[in-house]
Amino acid sequence: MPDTGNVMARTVEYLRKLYPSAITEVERLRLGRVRRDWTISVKQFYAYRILKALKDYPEGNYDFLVFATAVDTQKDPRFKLVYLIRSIKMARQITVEVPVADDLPVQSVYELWHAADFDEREIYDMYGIVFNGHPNFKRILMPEDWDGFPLRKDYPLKGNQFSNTYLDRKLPKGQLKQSKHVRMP
Amino acid sequence: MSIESREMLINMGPQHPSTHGVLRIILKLNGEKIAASEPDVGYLHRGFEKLAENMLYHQFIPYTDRLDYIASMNNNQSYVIAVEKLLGIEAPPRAQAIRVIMSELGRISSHLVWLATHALDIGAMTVFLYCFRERETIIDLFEETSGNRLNYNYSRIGGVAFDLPEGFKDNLRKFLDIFPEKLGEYHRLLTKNRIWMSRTKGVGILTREQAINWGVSGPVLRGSGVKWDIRKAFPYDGYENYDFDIPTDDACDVYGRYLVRMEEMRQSRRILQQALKHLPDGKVILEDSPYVSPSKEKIMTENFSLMKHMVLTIKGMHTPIATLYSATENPKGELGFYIVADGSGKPYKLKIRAPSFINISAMPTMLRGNYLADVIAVIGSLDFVFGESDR
Amino acid sequence: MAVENAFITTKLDKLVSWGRRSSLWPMTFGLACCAIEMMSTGASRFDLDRFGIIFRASPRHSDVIIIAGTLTKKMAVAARKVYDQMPNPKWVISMGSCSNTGGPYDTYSVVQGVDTIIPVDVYVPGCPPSPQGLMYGILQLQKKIKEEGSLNA
Repeated sequence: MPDTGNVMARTVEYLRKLYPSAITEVERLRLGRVRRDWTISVKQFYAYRILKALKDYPEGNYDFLVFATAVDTQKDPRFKLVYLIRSIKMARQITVEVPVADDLPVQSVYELWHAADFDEREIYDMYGIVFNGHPNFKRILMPEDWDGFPLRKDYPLKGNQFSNTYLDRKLPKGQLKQSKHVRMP
Repeated sequence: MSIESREMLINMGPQHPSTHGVLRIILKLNGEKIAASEPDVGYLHRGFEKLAENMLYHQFIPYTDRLDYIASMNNNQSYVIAVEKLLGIEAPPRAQAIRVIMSELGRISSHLVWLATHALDIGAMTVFLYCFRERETIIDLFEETSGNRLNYNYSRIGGVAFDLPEGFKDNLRKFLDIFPEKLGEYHRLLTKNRIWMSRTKGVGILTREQAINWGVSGPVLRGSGVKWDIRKAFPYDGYENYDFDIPTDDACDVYGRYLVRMEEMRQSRRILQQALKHLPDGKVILEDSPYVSPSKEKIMTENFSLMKHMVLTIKGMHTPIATLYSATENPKGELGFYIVADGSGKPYKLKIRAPSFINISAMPTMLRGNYLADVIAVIGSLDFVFGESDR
Repeated sequence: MAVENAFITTKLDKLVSWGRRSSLWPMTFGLACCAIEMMSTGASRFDLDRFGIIFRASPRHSDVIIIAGTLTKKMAVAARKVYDQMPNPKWVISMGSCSNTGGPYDTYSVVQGVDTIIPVDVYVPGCPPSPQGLMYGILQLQKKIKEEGSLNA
């Protein structure tokens, strides 16, 4: 297995040189025998610039966005955006975490990686985080007139008043009845 | 005389026989040509990620079957590997080899379904019947191993549920012997077929740069000339010990992706032959690990095993506090699980990186400038599954 | 062998129902995992054509709709529309646990049983049902049409 440490250390060093105060935390954890990729935490102010710097990293571009998602941390600030970026040339990947509050819009990375197109819409759909600069920003998995953000920790698994009466409003009257079976709690 | 020309909006789906499920595409047409398109997904959103946050790690294994239901074995494997990495354990060698056998069989069966439906959509009915004939042989192998035809629930955290059944190796060998001939049959039907070539060549172009930028994975990425395979780049379950090639194609069109998948089936057969030849003996699950339930016999006879089993099924295991991303190469592309573990028995957050979801997002780029009839060819070549895409 | 001036007396309903149940044309409404088993049932090994069953892609051509897979709330609107587009008489087969009861997905986005939005004639259990199971369900539907008639349906 190639030594990942050096390449990743050089990457982080490069970022630190560009934006000295952007990276708040660098974490590399080993679990058992498994190699784990590095994770850096970045202030929201610098997030877009750090991601752009990673994309243009001279040694081997981090040109492949594997996924983008969010985590509801239930702390302050409430959410954490997670980007996992890979360099196909070097076969390395790095996770970038950005803590964000739920009421501030975030700069979209669609222009850097088009792969963020659906992922950012999904983050909005599931967590309600708004992105600026996305070309087609709306809900993706849930219907467009849906209310509430299902993956937030305060959203109940079995749905709330809105989701339970959604079909009553959508379908012709008199057709809808309660299901015949009773679920175990 | 002047003809008024304007763009026309056409809605395709969500109920359409060749969208492979429930995809809706809104097409903006300029005559017969597609000016713009917008895929609309989410018609099969079942809330997997929310469900995962509400159940124990091992309870989620049967749900992973239903992600990419054409290749359930691969999803099982992908998920249990992610959890194993989190716990820092590794399955015994025999279990790893069995998982490799199952996932490569799953790859062949998934590609057979792809070829069947792709060809059926373009108009070749015979291929559909041929492919399902071979697929049934694989399904029989799966059924005698796990007991179900489609959703197997076979892998476990730390191994697999049971050992291979009697006669499995012979049946598999028989299948591997006849498979190249059958593959030749499909090639004879399609590869040099003029109708097939004119329907697929030069259609749905996705260049190398676009493919990387859109984040597509699997055969779609390789069909655009990028030599990338998780099995080679980040090997898991002992894939580094097998000798196989990564097929790529520089054509970047539907035909190129077709050739890549056809070659992948041949490579899978190579891996299967090696796995059969070097199948190690031994246990199929880690029995002394604190994270694995003891065997039924022990639970019934030993007090300690019974207690351990009860704790594991009721409270779940104590995981390290960590976040982790682990991916495997599925037939559709890179299936990854991003797990945020908070030390309790349930994942705090589980993100499924679904290859189909990302591959669909690249579709407007491939469709632009093509004819309306080519939409079906492009959809077929992307080979997505909505259980996984919408989660 | 030929019989001259042969005739049969029967009720019109029986004759029509015999015709209808011998050529049930289902609407392909594959939603999730069960759709793959539905495809297998129609493919080479199980061969649904034997029963006079040919899958149609348009609701206007079909007599029966097989709801195969998980019905979500987003899809339910479309499903109801497709059902309304089918001409009478029409029947519904609910295939698999998800469409019977919601199955393992007791979540915010899944309809808990397709019978909450359209009337169901035959429920086929399983996750997914085997092709034999689906064929049994279809035979049950034929039996139902035979016994209940189809002129008033």
